[in-house]
Amino acid sequence: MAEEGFKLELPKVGIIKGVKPKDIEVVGEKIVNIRARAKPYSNIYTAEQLEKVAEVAEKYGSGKVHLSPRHNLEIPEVRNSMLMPALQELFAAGLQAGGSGTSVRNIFTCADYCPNKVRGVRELGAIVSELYGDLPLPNKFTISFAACPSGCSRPWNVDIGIIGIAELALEEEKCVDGCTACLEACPVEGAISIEGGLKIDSERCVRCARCARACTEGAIKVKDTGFKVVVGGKEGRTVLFGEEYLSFAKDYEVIEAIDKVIRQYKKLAQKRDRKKYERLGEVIQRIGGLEAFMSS
Amino acid sequence: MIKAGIIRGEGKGKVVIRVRSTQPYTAEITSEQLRVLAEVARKYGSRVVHTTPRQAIEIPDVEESLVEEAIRELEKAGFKAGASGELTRHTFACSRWCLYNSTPVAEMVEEINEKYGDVEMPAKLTISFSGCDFSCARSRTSDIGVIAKTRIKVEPDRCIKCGLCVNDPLGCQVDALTVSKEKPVEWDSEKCVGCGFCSNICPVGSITAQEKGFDIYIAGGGGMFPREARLLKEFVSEERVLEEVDRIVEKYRALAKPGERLFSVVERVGIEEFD
Repeated sequence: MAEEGFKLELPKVGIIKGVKPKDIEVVGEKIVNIRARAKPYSNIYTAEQLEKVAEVAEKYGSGKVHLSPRHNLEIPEVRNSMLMPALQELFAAGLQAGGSGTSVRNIFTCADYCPNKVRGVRELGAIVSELYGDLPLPNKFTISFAACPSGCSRPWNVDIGIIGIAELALEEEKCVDGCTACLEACPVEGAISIEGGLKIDSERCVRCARCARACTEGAIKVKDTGFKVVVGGKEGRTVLFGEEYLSFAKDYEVIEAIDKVIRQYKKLAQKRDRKKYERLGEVIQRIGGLEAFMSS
Repeated sequence: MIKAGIIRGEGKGKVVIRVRSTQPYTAEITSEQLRVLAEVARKYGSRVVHTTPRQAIEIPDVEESLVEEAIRELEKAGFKAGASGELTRHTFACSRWCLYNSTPVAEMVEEINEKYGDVEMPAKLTISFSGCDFSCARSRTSDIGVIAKTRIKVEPDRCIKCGLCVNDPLGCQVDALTVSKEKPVEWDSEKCVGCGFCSNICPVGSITAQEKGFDIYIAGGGGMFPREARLLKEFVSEERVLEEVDRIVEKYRALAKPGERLFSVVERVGIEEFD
């Protein structure tokens, strides 16, 4: 086999065609929008990458950039004939087109410099992105990681949501009278009670560990951290919320779960209408619940 | 002293600055603004910028003592610090370069942001505008969600049976139209979601867009206890949308206890109170 040199291939997703120009005049040519994002995966852009996007937007586009809700910097109105040079410039800055069409969209993670985080999600997000990023599927497929149950990255409204949670350990004898730090930190009413001894209502507790961080006496501690995995949510025309699949998964189990869900989805998805296949949540609904879906 | 848009970060004495673009509007930034972001991130932060799910931009790792200076620099470039704590969040808007050519919402969003961008509220308040029923801006899981609707007129006698309204990738997405070589276009108004895409596609004016209206949803939310918003008003005219948003916000302010999100208020007093 003859060896070939490196050549940037036109990506299968992330280039949006057929858009009408709004801010520039184009004669005898079509424009495309480039959905740029960091690759290898990242939920942050470096200063250099921003400058590169600025340069590409000026040189090949209309000088404007759209912020998408899934970490894309979308460069609209790029002349079709200039697509390759634009992509090449972006590529050298660690930016590639992606995150559109019927495929696994950008893996979304929250900003884990956040003080509320239970555990970091960027590393695991990167692995999942490496494994499943842009994988073609029957319909759009979104995976979001949240570093705590606050869920800024909206894990309940995506196909697979992965939520960092803590297992707490109580040492009641260390709890001091008159201190209410844990109560004040707790975001859920009635999850912690201190009258008549420190207690956590496991039904109400969302396992965000804010109490453990607030406790200065060591009466509430984080024993272990893991992930809750919820499956089958979506946003848009109809809203669905994910159903709990795993209540406390370790990193490897998260990857196993994603793999299994994707396999089942590929196997079971049917046409929803003339144009599109069902989204994951719609398949689960049709089959009659997550358990039935996973074992079908 | 600036307070809005300064968030606790990792590391002692370090904070995160959260800003939104005001020029051209929230969902868009210009190349000059990108360069300013890069420069501020380099000068005051750790050379990186995070984009949030509500079209805000965060610069982490800024020294607390330098925050004001950094924000002033950002303000000069048309950024506004905010969207933290008990403030209104940036009004979320779908893309102006929609493939499907959905109803533009940018101007309305700018007006809302002028008025309610970073205003103090009983609790966090999110407002979202989507140009069609597909709701890319997540109008159905926001405190207040606005979704544009298009009424179409179908005139089968003008139909040339080209089939574009059905078969074009940018045509009908919900099987509300049928057309064949023998039969002109038929419209199932039950299935129609009022996106208006077909009227953009039809080459002969057999399907035309009539008036536009906006459905208003309230009491949705993401986060820890997510919930779907409920439809409050149907097909509100463009001139009245901002008035309606005003009215809902005022009602919320009057009825909410400190720290209470709109969905809790609606659960407590009933959606009728907001009608």
